Amino acid sequence: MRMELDPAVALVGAAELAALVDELAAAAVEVQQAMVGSAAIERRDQLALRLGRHVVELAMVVSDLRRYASASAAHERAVAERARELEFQLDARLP
Amino acid sequence: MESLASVLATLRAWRAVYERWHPGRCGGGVPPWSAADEARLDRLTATDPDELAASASRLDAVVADLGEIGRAVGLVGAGGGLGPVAAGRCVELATAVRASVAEASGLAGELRSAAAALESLLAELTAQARRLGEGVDGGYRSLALAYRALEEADRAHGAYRVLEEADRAQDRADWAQDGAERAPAAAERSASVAGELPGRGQWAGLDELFDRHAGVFTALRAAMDAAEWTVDSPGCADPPGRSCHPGRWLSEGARPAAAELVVNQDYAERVWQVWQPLPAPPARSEVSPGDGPMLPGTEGSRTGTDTGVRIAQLAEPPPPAVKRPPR
Repeated sequence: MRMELDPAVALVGAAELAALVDELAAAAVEVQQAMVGSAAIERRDQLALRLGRHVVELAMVVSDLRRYASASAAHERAVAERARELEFQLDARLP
Repeated sequence: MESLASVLATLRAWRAVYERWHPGRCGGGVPPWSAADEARLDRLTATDPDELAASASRLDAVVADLGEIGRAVGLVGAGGGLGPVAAGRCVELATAVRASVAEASGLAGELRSAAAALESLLAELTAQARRLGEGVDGGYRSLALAYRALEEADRAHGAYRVLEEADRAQDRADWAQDGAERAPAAAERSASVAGELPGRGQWAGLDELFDRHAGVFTALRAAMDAAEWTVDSPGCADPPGRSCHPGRWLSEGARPAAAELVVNQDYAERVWQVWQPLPAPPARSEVSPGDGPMLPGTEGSRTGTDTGVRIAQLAEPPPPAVKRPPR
């Protein structure tokens, strides 16, 4: 199995994106609380909703990145462990 | 806001005068300022233009933040090491955030426009209310004088009602007593009573004043239309200047003006119910004489002129080539 992402880099990226999630959520709240005339209420709410969707999407990217990074790290550990076992068994059979 | 309260109080005070005036008139029309107008104005002035402008400024800041966020998400996605799927999602999200930036920027502009419209309305309100307070450009009649004229008109009207009732009672007595012999005298008396219209002098003065007020409220309504168009549209769905014209205040005995046309959504729908598209004309099988020459080789004249026209005969098409079958 070949993992296409570097767990360490993915975790750094996830951390950066997580900070952006917070900023995006703050922007959505700011829009939702903006005082407008009744003619613009629907437009404001639609915009806040759209920003909320951006927040959810970005949060899912962060979550997936962390999950993949975790899985990738576990995979690398398992491969290293198995390699050590094989090396040990090979050493035992050698004269 | 304190000055706004005093301005609204002035308008409310004048509306009370109009309402006292209105039941005493028989000429029709509508008062220059009504409770519905006042409710409309109250709804508009409940929104503070400064708050709208501040809200627009906060949205500007959000626009700047969103721009930065979108750029940062795009950079993280393009940085590599996340895998192609996550990187692709980041790039897509950055594009979507850019669209939201444009939307937020548009909303901020709309808020700024609404704030300007409200500012304009409040300025108009103050200016027009001052004109009312000054008796419309010249100190013609103050609120107190209008009340006094109303009192006088009411008193005159009351006296007229008493006189009229006494006249009716006398008529009934006359008719009951000796019928037709007294009828001409009764008719003459009724005519003389009817000729003494109550409070005519006071009412004519107030008519003139309220007619000037109607002009004042025209400007105010135009400002309300513009403000509603950008801030609060349920009361007036049409563009500014097309609806909500003030009625004319008419004195008793004056000829009522025709009802003013208000072109709004309801009116447009009623028009479309009445005015339907004409049905398509039936296809004509033969040429009518008024259509002029339409067939090749005929003569006629151009429509609306005496110029003769001859339609050229078309050349005969070449005979079809016949291919002899091979033997």
